[in-house]
Amino acid sequence: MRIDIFTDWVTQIILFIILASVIDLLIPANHLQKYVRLAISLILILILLQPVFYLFNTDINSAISSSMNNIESQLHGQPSIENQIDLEKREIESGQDAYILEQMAIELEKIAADSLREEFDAEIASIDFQFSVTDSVSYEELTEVIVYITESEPGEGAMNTVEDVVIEWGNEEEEQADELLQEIEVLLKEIWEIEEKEITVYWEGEGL
Amino acid sequence: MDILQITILGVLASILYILLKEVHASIAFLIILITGIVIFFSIIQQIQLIFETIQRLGDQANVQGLYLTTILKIIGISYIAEIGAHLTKDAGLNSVSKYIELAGKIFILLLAVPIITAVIEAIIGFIPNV
Repeated sequence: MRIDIFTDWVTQIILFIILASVIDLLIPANHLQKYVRLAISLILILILLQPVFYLFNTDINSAISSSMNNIESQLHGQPSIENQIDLEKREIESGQDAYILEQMAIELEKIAADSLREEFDAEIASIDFQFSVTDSVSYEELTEVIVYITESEPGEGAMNTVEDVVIEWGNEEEEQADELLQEIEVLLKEIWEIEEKEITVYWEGEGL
Repeated sequence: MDILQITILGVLASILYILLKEVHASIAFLIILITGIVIFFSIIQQIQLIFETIQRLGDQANVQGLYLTTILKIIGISYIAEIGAHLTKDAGLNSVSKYIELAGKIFILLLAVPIITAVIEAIIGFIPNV
């Protein structure tokens, strides 16, 4: 492991020096040359210091990209404080939205859990919400509720019922599963009282 | 474009320039301008090849893309500033060519600033807070 890092480092330095010599030939020979050389040598310093960064656990990439972003925002002439405030505001808002959605999902799960277990022997793994307008969390914009369900594990004291072993053609089984999913959809619509919205149910792990 | 073609173009342009200089100075300068631009654009395609090679080599060497793009941007800036400076110098505007070079320098340094700050921040980070 250690030796890998070391060899990586050395190859990186060697290849970068070769690249730098090629670049040195490429740049036009005038007094811009020394500035180009300065930049290249700074990068070489960064590469040389990499093991030290590794030791001190400094994330040099994030440091560079953050200062890049700073420079860019200054270049575009927008007051950076306003930008930052805007950015932070948006972050907070999206955090709040995510929290609201999470709480809503938990509530919905609680409401539906009992009847789902009784009727279909299933439980909700997770709930996704789709909105027609991104960044907006309101009932009006809700277009689709995607529900992932799993077969519920029997709780303590519950009897393990032996499932009927039936060998069938794959097609029929799929149809049956589809029907089951549709039944669950209807039930969930009734429980949650959202008849006019779309509800889609998937088995966990099946995906879209 | 071949090196032969480029050279012939250059020689022809200079002959035309000498012929036209006495008669019509502004058209003579136009010839220089057009020749310069044609040669520049014919070279750009070759440079693209070299840039791609550099990028590929850099990827293989695990040099971070950020460094490579910075270097390539710097090279591009130096080329463009050089061409502009020479053109304006040919037109007899020495001071403007100096300004173009100055702008080139400043933009190159501007690109180097994130790297400089990164180095300095890292070095400051090494120093333990006593």
